[in-house]
Amino acid sequence: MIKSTSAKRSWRPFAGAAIIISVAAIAGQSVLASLNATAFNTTAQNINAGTLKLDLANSGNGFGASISNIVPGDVVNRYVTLTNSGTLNGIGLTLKTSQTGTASLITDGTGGVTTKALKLTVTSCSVAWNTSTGACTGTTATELNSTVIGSLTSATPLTNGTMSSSAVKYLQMKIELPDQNETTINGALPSNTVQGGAVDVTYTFDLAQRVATITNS
Amino acid sequence: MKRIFALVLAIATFTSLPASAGQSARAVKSSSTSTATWAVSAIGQSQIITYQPYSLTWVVTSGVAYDYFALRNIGSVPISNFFVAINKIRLSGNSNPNEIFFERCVGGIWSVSTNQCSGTVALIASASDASFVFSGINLSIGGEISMRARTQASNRNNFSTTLTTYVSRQDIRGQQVTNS
Repeated sequence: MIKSTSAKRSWRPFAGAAIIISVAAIAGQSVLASLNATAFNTTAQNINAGTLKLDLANSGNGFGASISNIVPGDVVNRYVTLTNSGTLNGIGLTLKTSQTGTASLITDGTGGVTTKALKLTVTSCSVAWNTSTGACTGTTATELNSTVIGSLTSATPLTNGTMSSSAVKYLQMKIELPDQNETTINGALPSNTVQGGAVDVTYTFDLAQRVATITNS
Repeated sequence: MKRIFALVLAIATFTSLPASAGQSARAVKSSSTSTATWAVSAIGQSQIITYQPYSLTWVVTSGVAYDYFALRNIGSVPISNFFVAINKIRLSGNSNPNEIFFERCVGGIWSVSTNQCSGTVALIASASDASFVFSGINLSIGGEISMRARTQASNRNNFSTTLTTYVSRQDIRGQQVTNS
């Protein structure tokens, strides 16, 4: 058997291609095996969020005891203590009330009706109030001017609305039934009257977090 | 232009996020407040409170007629003063209504059967008085002043007498300031 020369040479292109592919593969492997470097902190970075907590405590009777049988002109001072017990500073302290009960004690009369509703004034003292005498031995500040109780249904800013973490506000809540005259005839109360009324008031204090900050350090 | 608008919108959205996402803290408490009443009612014997003027109807043909009633504090605070208006109305005939005397039994009680006072009789109003006033008293809650109305001996016409009580804000205690 004698093979022709041309037949012998027909495999050579395939052999050449195989050699080239092999060389390329070997070269490629050398690239994938290049060096890598990693860096990390050996102690995990601690990140924690602050807290914002507002505590409301009675001082003396505070809101814990009902106010009963008041007559026009009466003033009842109750005392509460607000504390920012969170770790964040707070701003924008507000107060709002919701109330149910006798309408004439919630809003002033209109359209010829002259009844005058309950009013609330809030005053702060830099130290704790004497809840028996109403004396403040520190500095007082008016936080909320005398306001009809029914006008406080939306959040109303208090004058000094900033409360740093751990800050305490000693508040006097002055509830007043404005002086007004009513005459009762034959034992029957007038049609529009503040007499014999009752109101349940819920006081809500809100404190917002301090403004968010960006720090570089 | 659209790109600028989109950029402004994006900035506004992202800058408003921190405020709406901020923390807030809330503290809530409730309390109740109630008000007093001040009222006096004239109440006849064995009657209930009607909240109407107290009416006495006389049919006097001879002798003296009596009517016993009480002025009761039906409010929730003591009363210092109150006013009673007297209205006399002729029901028939032509003569004027008879004169009425209003008396109080001080320090005792009236005996309806004998028409006697165990204490001292005090004349509160007489003849043609149109009203009488109690002042400087301390009528406690639920307290009563025991009263008697008396006619003169007469045979005059039928007539009625009505009493209307008035208690105003000034007739009770003054304003108070309390701290607690």
